[in-house]
Parts: sequence; C-alpha cells; structure tokens
Amino acid sequence: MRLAAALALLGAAACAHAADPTAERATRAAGERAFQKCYACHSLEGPDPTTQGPSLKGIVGRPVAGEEGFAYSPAMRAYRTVRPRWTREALDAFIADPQGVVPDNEMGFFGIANDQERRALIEYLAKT
Amino acid sequence: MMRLSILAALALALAAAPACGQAQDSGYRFETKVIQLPAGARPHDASPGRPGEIWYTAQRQGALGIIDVDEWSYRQVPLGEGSAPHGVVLGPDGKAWITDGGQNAIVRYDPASEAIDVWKLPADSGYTNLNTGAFALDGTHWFTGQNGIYGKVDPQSRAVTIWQDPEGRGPYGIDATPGGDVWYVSLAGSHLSKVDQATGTVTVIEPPHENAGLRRVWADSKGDLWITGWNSGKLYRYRPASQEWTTFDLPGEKPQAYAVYVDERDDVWVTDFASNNTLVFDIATEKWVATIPGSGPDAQVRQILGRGNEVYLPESGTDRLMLVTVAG
Repeated sequence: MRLAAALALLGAAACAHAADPTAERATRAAGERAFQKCYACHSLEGPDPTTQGPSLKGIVGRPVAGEEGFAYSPAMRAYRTVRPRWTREALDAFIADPQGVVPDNEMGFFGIANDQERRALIEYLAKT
Repeated sequence: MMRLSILAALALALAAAPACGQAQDSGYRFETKVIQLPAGARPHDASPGRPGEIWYTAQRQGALGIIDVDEWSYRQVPLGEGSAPHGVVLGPDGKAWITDGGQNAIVRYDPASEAIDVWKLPADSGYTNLNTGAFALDGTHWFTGQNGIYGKVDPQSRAVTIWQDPEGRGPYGIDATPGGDVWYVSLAGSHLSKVDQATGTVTVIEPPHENAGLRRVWADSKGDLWITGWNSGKLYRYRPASQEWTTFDLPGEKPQAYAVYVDERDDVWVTDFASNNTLVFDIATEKWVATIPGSGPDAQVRQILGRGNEVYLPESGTDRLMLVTVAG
C-alpha cells in the first residue's frame, strides 16, 4: 500500500513538475524501495564476489555483460551482440520481463510489472 | 473453474509414465514420475501436504499448488494480490506455511477450510525477500529473508518478530534438527547460523572455504547438518557436537550445489545445476550412489523435500515436478 501511494504520488508529480523537489524525493524513495527487490543479489558499491549478480553501480549506460570478471550466462553474453549497452529503454524492457527479453538468463527474479515502479528504479540506479 | 479442470486434465494427459532407475554400481533403485504443471508456474519449493498430497509453490503465479498423488492431477490456490511464494512447509497444525516474498508475508493455507491467514512483516521491515521456513519443536515458525533478515511467527500470539543477520544480505535455507535446534545458512554472507530461540540472537559459524555461498541446510537423524555450497560446488557436513566440518566433492567439473535434503533413510539428496542432475549420497559409505537427471534441460531443482520413501523434485525450469519413489 505504501508503495502504491508512493507510485501514485510519483506519477502525479511527474506530470505536474518535472523538476519539483517533492517529485524528485518521491521518485528517489520509490526507486530505493524498488531496489530492495534487487538488493539480495546486486550491490550498488561496485563488484562484489559475495553477491550472485553483477553490481548495478553505474548500470545505466554501461555495456551489457560489462562487469569485468563476472561469469555472465551465455544468454546474457549473446544479448550483448544485439543490445550493446544498458540504455534506459533496454533496462526497462529487461526489468519488465527478464526471461522474455533474455531467454535462459540466470537471474532468478521475475521482474517488475508496474511501469512507474520500473521507471523509479531506473532513475534511482542512474544516480548510483 | 472450467479452465482449471481443463488444465488438470491436460496435466493428466501429459504425465509421464513411471520410469525405473538404478544406479549402475550401487544397486540403489528408484522410480520416477513427472507431472506437467501450468506453463509459467515456476514451481520453486515442494512439501508433503495432507496424506496423498504434495504441495508446491507456484512462485510466478502467486499460488499454492496441490498435487493429488493418486489421481496424478493438480490444482492451484491463489494466495493473494502480489503473491510470489518461495517456500512451503507442512506445519504441525497440518496447514501449509508459505514464505511469500511478493506479499512480504508469512501465509498459511488451511487445506480443510481453505482459509488463508496472512502475517505481514512489520511495516518498518521493508521488502525482505522472504525465502524459507522451518518449525521449532514448540511450534514456532522460523523463517529467512534474503535481504538480510530472519524471524519468527508465534502461531499462538500471532506475533511476528524479525532480526537482522549480523552479516547482512543472504539468509536462505533453514532447518530444525531432531533435537529442536534451528539453523540457517546465508548465501551472500556464506555462513551458518544457529538461532538462540529464547533471545533471537544468532551464533555465526564460518565454513571451511571462503565465499562458499551456503545455499541450503538440512539436518540428518543424528543432528548433523548437510549444507550445499553454491559457489564452491561442495557438499558440507557440519557436526554441531564436535564443531567439525567435512567437505565432499560433487562429481564433474564446476558443479553448482543448490538444494539439499536428508530423507527418512538418512540419504542425502543434492541438486547440481551444472550437470542438471539430482544426486544421492550415502552417509555410511560417504559415496554418491545415484544420479537422477532432470526431466528436461535446465530443470533447476531449487529445493527438495519428501515423506516416507517419496522424494519431491520441483523443477522450476521445466514447470514440472518429479516424484521419486525409492525402493526398499
């Protein structure tokens, strides 16, 4: 319910004032909350050998399968040939349907269906 | 309801005929039977249900699955909006206790009345990525959350309490020993933890290999703990009585040890994602005695549980469940 309220505030605020500090705070809060769904497997502090997934630090704009030393799945390495970088659009599509966009990738997460929640997450990640 | 009936009929039609297996050198004999579950269900964990039933979590469809073993058919019970159930265990009350990551709640399903109870985690806990549950001897339900928590539900008072793991993200598999001790392992934290059930604090015990990635834990009849190392590809035994670790290699190159379960005969079952096999380890001889391939490529058996001579292998990668019946 708290997430729904935050997302509703985010949507309304985004329509009214793109640079509104209240809207930015709402976006950040919603994005930070959405990131909790990634937190178990992804760090925001750079490569971490104890986590199951690559770090998401600087993920927006980063090359796909681009963390040095991380054992990406063949599926993710193949995806790099069609999508060289994690643009916001590419991230949005992937987070919405990870297995649909990159079949057989090894991420165990099923994705985030809510458009606004995904946008908030990507905004949050863009600032890491 | 009509659609469910059609699906159930389809499942019956698709159910594979029983297949017999025997490990070539050990004489270990078993039969397997596979049921096709709804496409996209992603069955994550399974548990004995009522007699003649197997329960499974349909993680991607927000439901508890109920397989009728005699009919070899299934039905699914929706658990609520946003549900994404990870673990399920049979409680001492005969009900299904579900760690529901999507609802951030412990969910209980009563198979008699079909009532569903939901224990939301405390509001300030945030999203905890709930993982697996186990019961202590006093009936308290203990659970893990992969974002770095463990906790309990007291069925009498209905109180939910959570604590932070001392090393942060990672709490995953959990089990109670026959003597009543509760232990869990941390995947990212790569440690074993013993829960002090009176205070809620934990004692952290490090495995013999750094960053082994301890995924799941199960106790045998003597209280020894069997633990899978996802990163190390090892099977570990931790003997609480002597505080000794023993390491066993899985067959093959670069194995990925995921699920572990000790059956009622004290055989240890382990899944290896790299080879797509479930392996059986004999405690007495300390040898691997059987190999059971997945029913299809990348079967991804993430948890194992059973009852009597039955062992359940939910295949999240194929949307199937394999029932293994051990002979003898």
